[in-house]
Amino acid sequence: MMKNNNLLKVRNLVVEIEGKKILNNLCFDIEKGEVIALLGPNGSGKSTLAKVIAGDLRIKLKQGEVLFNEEEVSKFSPEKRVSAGIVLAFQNPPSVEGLKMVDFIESIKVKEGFVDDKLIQREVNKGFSGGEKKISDLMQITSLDPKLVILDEIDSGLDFKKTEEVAKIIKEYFIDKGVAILIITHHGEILDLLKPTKTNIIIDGIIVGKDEDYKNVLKTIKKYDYEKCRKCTKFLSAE
Amino acid sequence: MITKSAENAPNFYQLNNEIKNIGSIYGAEIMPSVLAWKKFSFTHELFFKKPKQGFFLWVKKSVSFPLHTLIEIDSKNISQEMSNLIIIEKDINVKLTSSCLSKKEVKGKHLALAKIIVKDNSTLDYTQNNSWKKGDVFTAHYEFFLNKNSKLKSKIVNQSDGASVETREDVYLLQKKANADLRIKMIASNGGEFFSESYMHGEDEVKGHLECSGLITNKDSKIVSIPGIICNSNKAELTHEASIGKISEEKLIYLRMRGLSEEKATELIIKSFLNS
Repeated sequence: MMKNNNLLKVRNLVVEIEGKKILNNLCFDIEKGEVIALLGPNGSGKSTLAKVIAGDLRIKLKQGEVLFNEEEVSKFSPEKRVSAGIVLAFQNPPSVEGLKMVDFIESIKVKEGFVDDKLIQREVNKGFSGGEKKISDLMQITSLDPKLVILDEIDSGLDFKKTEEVAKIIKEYFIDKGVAILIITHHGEILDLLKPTKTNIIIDGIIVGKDEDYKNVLKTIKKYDYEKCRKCTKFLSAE
Repeated sequence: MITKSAENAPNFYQLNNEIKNIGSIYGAEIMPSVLAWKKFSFTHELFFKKPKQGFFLWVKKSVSFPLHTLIEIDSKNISQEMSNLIIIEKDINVKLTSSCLSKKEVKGKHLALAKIIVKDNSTLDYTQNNSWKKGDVFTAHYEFFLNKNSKLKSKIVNQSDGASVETREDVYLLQKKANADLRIKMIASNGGEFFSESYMHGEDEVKGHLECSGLITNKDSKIVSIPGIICNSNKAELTHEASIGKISEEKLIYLRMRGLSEEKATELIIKSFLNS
């Protein structure tokens, strides 16, 4: 009997915000332990997809299913999805003034995670630089026990050194331990460090192409820009 | 009953209309306001009016541990009428926490009139925690008087879980180099209502900052907050800021996406609001 490796199956997702289709009948799969990249231009629906999977209740699903380990989770609360193993690192997490990182992590902790000694005594994301916010989110989610980690623009606004630091934590705490990763990125620099096995392109709320070689995808985007990717099937297999 | 103060026990404890404990403090006198009125005639012009209840705290030397007073209601239809007077003598550092609360829903009434005098070169770190429940009526007026080179750092936390709350604070920065930082936090939940006025008065070369912030946790609650700065000198430097808001949905989702239940996440946001 073949082993079932499906972790996440997203089927025919439709999300409309103020009459505009943000996700347009989107389908998407991730297998257990896979490292997947999702690239797309601004406004293509990347972050909306991340939030829908992680359970942001402010986004209403018009149509579609989110299956996680064969279970339909789209009606689950965000905390129930965390228990199931879905965790999101935010693109721009809010600050929670008056709440120290150490106390916050203590209240959510399932296991020992990554700790940055400089940030642990500070209030959650208060006055944090872009890089510190990414580290803050990684401190939080490494102390949980995820099966799928969605990294929403984890490399945006980071210099190369910080990107390396972030990638090292992701590899050590997730990839090396068989946790599946969905890397959502705009420019793709972190892909060289995390080496995804599949890379997808999203435009106007739909996956328009994918390739097993992320370098091919990056090359295509560099050459033709995102808008031309829809028509470009030379490097990308059609969905 | 007068006992020697333990560091964590309240130095003055009143439950309903009975004084349960007064702890002696080295370097300070603490007693019921009624007794202070009889014993010290100079207090007659300092109390708001002739006291029926309340405490008199007279700090004459720096105290090495934080002082604490606690006034509670746990029985039905109790009415408390507190007149408090706190005097901090010259060149002293004091940390004081005062708490007034109802322990359960008892439809209590609590009136608090307090005068707090900080003399030359002294510093008072003052926290006032008030927590009232459905059916309670809480009315308070605190007046702070700051003399030359004195400093007040104060946080007043008013929580109304369905109670009616009316408060007023006046900080008088009377003399040169007096400095005050007053932060007022209000949390209105379960139909709780606030009417809060807070004023900072600058009379000389002084500095003062007033911050009023409110959090409304459900649609039936209400906060009216009126902060004011009154400047009687061209040398005074006074600032204020005010904000009232609901629990941020973004923060709530963020905490829930870390595995906390809605209830636990709300609790943590309220706690963080009080700590900020």
